[in-house]
Amino acid sequence: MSIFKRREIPVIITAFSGFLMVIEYFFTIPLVASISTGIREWASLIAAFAVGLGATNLGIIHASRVRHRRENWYLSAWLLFVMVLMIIVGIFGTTKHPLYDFLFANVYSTVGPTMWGLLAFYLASASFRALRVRSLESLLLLISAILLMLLSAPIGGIIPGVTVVANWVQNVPNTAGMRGILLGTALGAIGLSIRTLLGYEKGYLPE
Amino acid sequence: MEFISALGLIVAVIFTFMIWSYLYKESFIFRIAEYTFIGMASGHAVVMAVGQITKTLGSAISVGQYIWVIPAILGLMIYTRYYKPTVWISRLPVALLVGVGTGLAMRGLIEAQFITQIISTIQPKETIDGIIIAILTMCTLTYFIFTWEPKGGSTRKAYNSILRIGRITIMVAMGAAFGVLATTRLTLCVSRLQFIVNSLSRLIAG
Amino acid sequence: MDETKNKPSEKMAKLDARIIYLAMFIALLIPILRPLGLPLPISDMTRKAYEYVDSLPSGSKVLLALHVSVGLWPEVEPGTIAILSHLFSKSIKVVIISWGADEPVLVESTLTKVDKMGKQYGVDWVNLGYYAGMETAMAAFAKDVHGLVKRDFYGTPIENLPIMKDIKSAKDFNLVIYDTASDIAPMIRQFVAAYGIPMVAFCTIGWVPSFMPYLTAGQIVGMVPGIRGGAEYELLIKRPGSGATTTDALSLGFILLIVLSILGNVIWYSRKIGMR
Repeated sequence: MSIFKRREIPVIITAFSGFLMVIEYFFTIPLVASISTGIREWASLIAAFAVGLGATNLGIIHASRVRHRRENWYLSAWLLFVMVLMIIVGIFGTTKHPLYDFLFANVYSTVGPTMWGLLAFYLASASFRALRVRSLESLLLLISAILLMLLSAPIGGIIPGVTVVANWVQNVPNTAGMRGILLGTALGAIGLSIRTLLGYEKGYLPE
Repeated sequence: MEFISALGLIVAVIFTFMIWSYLYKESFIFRIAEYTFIGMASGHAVVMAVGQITKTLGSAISVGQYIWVIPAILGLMIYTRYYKPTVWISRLPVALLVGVGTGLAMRGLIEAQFITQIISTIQPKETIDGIIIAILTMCTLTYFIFTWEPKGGSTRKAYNSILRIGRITIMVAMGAAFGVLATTRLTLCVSRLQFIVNSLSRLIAG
Repeated sequence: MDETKNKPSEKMAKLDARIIYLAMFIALLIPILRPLGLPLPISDMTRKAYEYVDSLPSGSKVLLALHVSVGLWPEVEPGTIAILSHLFSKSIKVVIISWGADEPVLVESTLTKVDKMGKQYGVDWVNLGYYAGMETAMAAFAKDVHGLVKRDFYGTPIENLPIMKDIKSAKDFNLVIYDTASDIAPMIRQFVAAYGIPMVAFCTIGWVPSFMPYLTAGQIVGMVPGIRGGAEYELLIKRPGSGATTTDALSLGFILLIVLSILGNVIWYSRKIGMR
């Protein structure tokens, strides 16, 4: 049994499954294609099991806060109650259950966008306090940001020339900058992928 | 208006204001809404994942494809990570997931994010803008070279100019990213305000 | 007493953030209560997306892949309604699949706002639900649809759905529409690069700068950027909806952001000069 406890086994599994996907893509070998197709379908099912890890971690942390009566423990208890309620109603009554539908439509779908939208107010505050023009670069950053904002709403269309310039900024210097970043990250990702498949990177394995 | 619809609107309006209360001050009211959301998000994710598992396994087993029990066992093995002596068991499915994910990303990445992008840079469609994109892309890439720099006066000066152009290009792209980020967040805010205005007018109208 | 503390620039610099928040509320609320009604020019990227979808021949099959969480859904919903209305107005089969957990339920509610023009579930369109694993699920679906998907979102075996009879892999789709609030690269790798399937992106506007290299390189045939793109698409299909009113309401918010950034700099400079 101890042989399975060694880190070499998961590293071999990673390398085998990873190279199998690569080989399947570049060569037409029916056996490889059939094995890799099967493994991919299995992996999606395993990933579905892994989705529960988040809820499990959350459950463990908040159950511990409740057990030890830490600060705001009643909020943790409320979180656990809501989570368990969603799971029970969703699994046994499906997402079509009236209670689930009510909670999803009126609470979950409400709180999510409102939370994301909070940042609009902080952006306003940041525009006032932090967007300082200290150099040519920061001036260009500000101009580019303003142009893209104007391009995103009809207001840009009523200021002569703004749409043309903003479109040019978006299509030319922005594309070049993003492409440079894209190529750089692609190179980095290729390097990291090779290191992972060859077993030099093992940080993903649970400790 | 139906009672349930009206109740739904009232609950949604209350939760929206609970979140907005954070703008005035972080308070217990905001925390309740925040914890409710986190609880619902994790609960919903579990419900959907269980749905996929039961549909896939149920269908496979009903037609005698018992081999699907293997990935189900592998999936359950992930949960052994919570007990130190059995952590090693969870490494096996995680290794498979990482291997498959890495292999899939790597094989397509070379063509999709590397070769096609380079071809598009050196074979531009619109001549003048295309040439500008090509030059600025190369300057941006040069900016990311941290392991080498030229020696000597004029070469170094020219190289520094390339770096400056690269930096300016990145700043313009970041400015664009900031501008559109503001748009996204404002849109969400507007949608919530529209919801509040519409809900209140519906509730008042009965 | 330090006189500089009484200067307007000093007072402005110490402005309570809550006043800025209130100003933003008002700026966003005014156009909602009294729409500005500004004309919306249609961008090239949205027009290209519309023209590509419009040119699809009858009987085409389109995959609508979703990856937008609940928090960002309001930004892409008007565009999603518009594209679904456009697809349903033509004889095009629509297969909906989700790479995130929220989307199957969200799209269900969105579909209630779409005029389906008598199109039948299971025959003309289908909601396959959520599949975990992101790129792994995308690749598995692209290679062997029936291998990954056994039942639709409602639990019906896909063999019983007529629409799924001729759909075996990504090659059977004429177009992929990716409704996304995350990176498009995995979909490009698994559908465009691997199978050469044309793709249109319906994305949150925040991703537009990052997706531009793909649009310029022709890896995506069109892009519908966030709420503005949704509003443009509504105009193109001649069905004005919520996208236009939301886009209209953004204008004053942007003006406030621009004024605040300029004012912030003016105050900063005047304080700097004052210190000298």
